[in-house]
Amino acid sequence: MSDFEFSIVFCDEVNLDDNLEDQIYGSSCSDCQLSSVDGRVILMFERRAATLVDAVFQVLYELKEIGLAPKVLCVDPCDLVSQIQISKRLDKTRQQIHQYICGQRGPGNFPKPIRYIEERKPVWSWSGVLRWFLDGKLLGVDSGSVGSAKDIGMINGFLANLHNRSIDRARFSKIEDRFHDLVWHETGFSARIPWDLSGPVDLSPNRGDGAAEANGYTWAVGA
Amino acid sequence: MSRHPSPELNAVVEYAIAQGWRVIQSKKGHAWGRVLCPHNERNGCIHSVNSTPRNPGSDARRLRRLIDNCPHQQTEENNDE
Repeated sequence: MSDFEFSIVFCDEVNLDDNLEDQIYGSSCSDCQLSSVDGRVILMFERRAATLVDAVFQVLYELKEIGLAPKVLCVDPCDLVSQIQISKRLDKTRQQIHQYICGQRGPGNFPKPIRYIEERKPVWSWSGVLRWFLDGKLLGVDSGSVGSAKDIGMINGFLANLHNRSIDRARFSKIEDRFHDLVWHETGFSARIPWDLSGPVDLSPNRGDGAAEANGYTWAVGA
Repeated sequence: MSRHPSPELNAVVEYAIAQGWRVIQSKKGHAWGRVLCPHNERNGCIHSVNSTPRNPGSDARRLRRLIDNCPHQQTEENNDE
């Protein structure tokens, strides 16, 4: 068991008010620091668990009990990092990280930025950066940290999908349909996610062939 | 302003006030109050303080760290350079 630090970030509709404080402090999540930074509500946790994913899901279950799980936007530390954030997270100077990026330190071939938030402001995948340090046996990065960073990236991918669907279901469904046609059409099963964090979508009675129908689509059920 | 029942948290609240933070005490409910950073004319940092924390020492350390690492204060310092 280890101690993990992470934050749950809420979507726009959640505000720091008396009701939220009573909800959080009256629940199993009362060990968190409830804060608002620039209007964005965040719960900061230090939890003991076997893995970071276990710790995050403990909290998601607890938030589900009080109806707040569907309002989770993402989990921090998120996978997108700037050069400054890399230096902070690794407790190194910006200059040192710049040297790794430019190949003046380390084995070279630092991961490419995955996008630019604006011109000349690149951001990297944190899990990719950690992987590079692990492969180069640098700064004592361990495989557990790399795995945790990847897991948080995946959890945030799921949360982003659920959030996008909740804010504009029609638009989300159009994009979902395009992916369905592109990738999964021939499998006979839907690529769509038949649930959200408030619970499962109500599936019609099982057809007896391992599939069920809901919302006009066929879903794989069980294993 | 009444004191927080936990001496550790009370010390951090007093530290926050000394750093120019404001404190708004709750009149009812589970929260003791909120500490607001000096840069919160519109947004800024607002940290809620639980009146009956499970682990006051750990809550106090975390709150102290948040006060010391307020991103708005750092932005102002960077702008001053």
